[in-house]
Amino acid sequence: MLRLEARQRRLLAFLLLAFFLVYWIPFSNTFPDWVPLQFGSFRIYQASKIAMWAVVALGLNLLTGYNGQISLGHGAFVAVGGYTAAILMVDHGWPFWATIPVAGVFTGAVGFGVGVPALRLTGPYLAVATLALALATPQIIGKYDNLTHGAQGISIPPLTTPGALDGIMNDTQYVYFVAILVAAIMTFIAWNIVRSRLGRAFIAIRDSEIAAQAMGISVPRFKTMAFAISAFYAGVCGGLYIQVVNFVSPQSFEVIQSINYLTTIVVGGLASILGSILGAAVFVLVPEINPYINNLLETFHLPTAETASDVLFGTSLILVMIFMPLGFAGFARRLTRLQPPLVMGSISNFFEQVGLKMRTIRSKPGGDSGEGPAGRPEKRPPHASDGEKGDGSS
Amino acid sequence: MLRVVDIHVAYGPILALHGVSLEVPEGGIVTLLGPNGAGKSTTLRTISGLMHPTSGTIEFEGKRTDRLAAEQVVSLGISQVPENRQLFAELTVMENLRLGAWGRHDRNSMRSDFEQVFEYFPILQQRQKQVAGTLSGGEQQMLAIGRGLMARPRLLMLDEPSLGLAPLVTREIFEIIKKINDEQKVTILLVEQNANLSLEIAQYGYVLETGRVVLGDTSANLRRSESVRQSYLGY
Amino acid sequence: MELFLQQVLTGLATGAVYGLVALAIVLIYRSTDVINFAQGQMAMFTTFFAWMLLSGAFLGRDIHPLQYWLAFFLTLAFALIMGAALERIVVRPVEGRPILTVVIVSLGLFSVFSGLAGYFWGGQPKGFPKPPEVHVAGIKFFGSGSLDIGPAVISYHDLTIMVVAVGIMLALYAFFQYTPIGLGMRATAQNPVASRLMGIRVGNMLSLGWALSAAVGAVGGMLIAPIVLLQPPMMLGVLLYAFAAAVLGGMDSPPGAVVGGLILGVTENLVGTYTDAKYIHVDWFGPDMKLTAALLVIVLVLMVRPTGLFGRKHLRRV
Repeated sequence: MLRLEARQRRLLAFLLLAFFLVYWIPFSNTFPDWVPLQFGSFRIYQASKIAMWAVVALGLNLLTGYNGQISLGHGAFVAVGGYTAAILMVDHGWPFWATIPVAGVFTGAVGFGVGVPALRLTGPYLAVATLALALATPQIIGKYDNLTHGAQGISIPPLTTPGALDGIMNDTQYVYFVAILVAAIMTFIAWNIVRSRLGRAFIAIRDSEIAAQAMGISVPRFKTMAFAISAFYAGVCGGLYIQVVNFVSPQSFEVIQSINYLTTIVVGGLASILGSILGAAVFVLVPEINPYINNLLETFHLPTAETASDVLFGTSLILVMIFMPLGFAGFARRLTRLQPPLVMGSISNFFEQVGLKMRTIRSKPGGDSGEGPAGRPEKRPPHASDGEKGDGSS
Repeated sequence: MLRVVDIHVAYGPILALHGVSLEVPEGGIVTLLGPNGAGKSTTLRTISGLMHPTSGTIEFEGKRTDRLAAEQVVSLGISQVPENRQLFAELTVMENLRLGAWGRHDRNSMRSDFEQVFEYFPILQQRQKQVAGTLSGGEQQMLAIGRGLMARPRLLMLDEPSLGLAPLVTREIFEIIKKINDEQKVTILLVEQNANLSLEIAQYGYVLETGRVVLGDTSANLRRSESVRQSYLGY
Repeated sequence: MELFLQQVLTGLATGAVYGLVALAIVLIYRSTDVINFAQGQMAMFTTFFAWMLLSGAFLGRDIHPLQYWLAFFLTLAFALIMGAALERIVVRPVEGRPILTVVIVSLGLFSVFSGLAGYFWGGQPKGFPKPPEVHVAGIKFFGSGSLDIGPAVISYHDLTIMVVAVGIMLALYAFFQYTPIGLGMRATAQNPVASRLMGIRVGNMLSLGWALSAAVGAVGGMLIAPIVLLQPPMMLGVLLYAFAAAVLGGMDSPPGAVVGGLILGVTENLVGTYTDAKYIHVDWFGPDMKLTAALLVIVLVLMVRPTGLFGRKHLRRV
């Protein structure tokens, strides 16, 4: 194997990734048939969805993973962003590339507005308040239909490849590149935030608000900023969403979406840029397993049901949380550092907890040496039978 | 009565006790001294079964206890008054005391035990129905000791009972500890930073530093020893 | 005025169910600091179990149908065991982990129970019987039909719900306040380490907490099934309101959970009725906004009392 320094290894990994994203995914279907791992139109579309999902995951991770504020309502922000972009495009003729940043900024402002009252709430109370926000969103969208087109939703004309690029790529690939570009920019921004004073302030607040305050960090300011930034991300995701999916309606933003975002970052890895992206990938790709599950059930002559995949999904979530508490990103980190896998230790822990003990190699039992530490013979304390009592003064 | 032999105790990868050995004879008062972070609380926690040594043994009245769970250790007759009292702050004084008697079914002796606790700590009887979190520091310590007594232990371990208390209150409590040892025949293992008072009531003492026992002697000898006087007695 | 009274009464009945499920949520939260998102689906699953006993159908095979009360109490027993088993197998391995980890585990349970219920019993809505009527000393209990209370009418089943909810509340209160095990559970919730030093088997207390919570949920499910029909998504609406009620009342306050549920039930009903075009002519607010209205109530209350109506502020030692 090539001997490479850590820095060179990282550069190589980055270049491979860039090649994969920029060339392989969009164009592999033009390769000769014997080349493995080709991506057809549907796969490219899925990749676009992953990119879009990663954006909101990054934002939510900034708020929840790095800053410790639990939000079960980010679907509301994505809705705000998505509808803002859709209305600007469809009702006011804005070009798509302008709607995305505007959606982001507007949603960021809304996020700031939510972040201020959120200062008063913590833990489950904040979670339920944001949940309330997510619950109310479809109803509010449906209600104000003169602005939002109500229950019928808004159809967004699909993006078409601009003339200059017409020979090089088709529409699906064009959308893909837009999505990847936006996701890359947002990832870069997040990466910088995490390494900046802002990021450190977030983490300090998460770990101890009181200590952070004592160090001179303005807790209210940074907490509301965290909400605003994560809402900005959600808004950008919304702007992307309408380009990838080409349709928004109140049903697009049911509560389950918000809960899914949270699951994504926990499974992917809290407080981790890589985790946000991995989680997004996991989430978009998980439904792929369904036909396999049903096939498996059929071979065992068990009745099939669409709900069988729910059971597997839920079980997988639970298993991931038990054996990979730091999410996929944490697991990946452990693997690359070649530490003894967390999994084995977790498995024996798990069985112990449930009451079965797994035989493990025990350290040798201590002997009864009678000698004290450092080899000095210890004076035995007087026993009651020695006839001594009281404070021992002779 | 209690024999701790060469125990090594670790928090994850960090070794806190490096081969600690000590003995507590029946009926006596033994004190465990040492600075902050020496491992005194860790020692008590291990004896109580909240932690387990990676090597070494603990024997109580001839039975091995180092592999037992905390609940089992309590049922053998060892009760701990933990550091910082660890009271049930939202429950009343009476409820805290009742919890101390968890697992006991002997109604009549329980009643007389309540009375005994109130005799030692009359203020607790006054504040029976009061929520534990609203008591003063000294009262909380008394409640913690009373709660420990309700288990009718044969060995009572106290972790820094003087912590955060004014000198007069501390003295009062130490006198009661001595009374309990005298009257109830309860063996006492007393972990303390306040070496003066502890050595006054104990017959024997150990000094723990960075996870090792550096001295083990009668309290009289400890009080005369140069190093102990300089480091712990202040004269 | 009759309408108002009517809506309040009906609201109290639905509110009682919200309160019951909220009580189950608070029970677990108080003893284990876990927010159990799967509460509703667990209740739904146990209600399906009851349906199976009552109707005699399981995966296509026939078993002998049982009498209502026998099925009811067997279901409670099943719920107790299921709750304890869940705590042991699924929650114990992740205890002490960050709260989000446990939240995701409960979300996983949510999916598992949804899927299992659909798998075993199918997604078609099924009818579920009300408790059969009983006549004691000339007074009718349970059953169908309605009762006149002044100008308003209340169905017997709604009355049943309210009475049962209050009964369970009182029973739980007595259990926690006056029994040794109840005391042990309260101690475990407050200070697990000190509890172990008392000789309390903390693990068993936690399992008991989950067991009780599952049983309370089961009762809630069996009471509401006659109204909303038994199907896998049956408890979703209730669950959301139950969470809202728990938060409204204060996550660590059992009476708060019930009061919160009642408030929400009444509010939801009143908003649904009085924002109808007949009474108020406002364009931007209407009966279809009643969920939003209820949620608005919660957010407003939380702004004024961030830990809920009866919640206690967590004093954190620095």
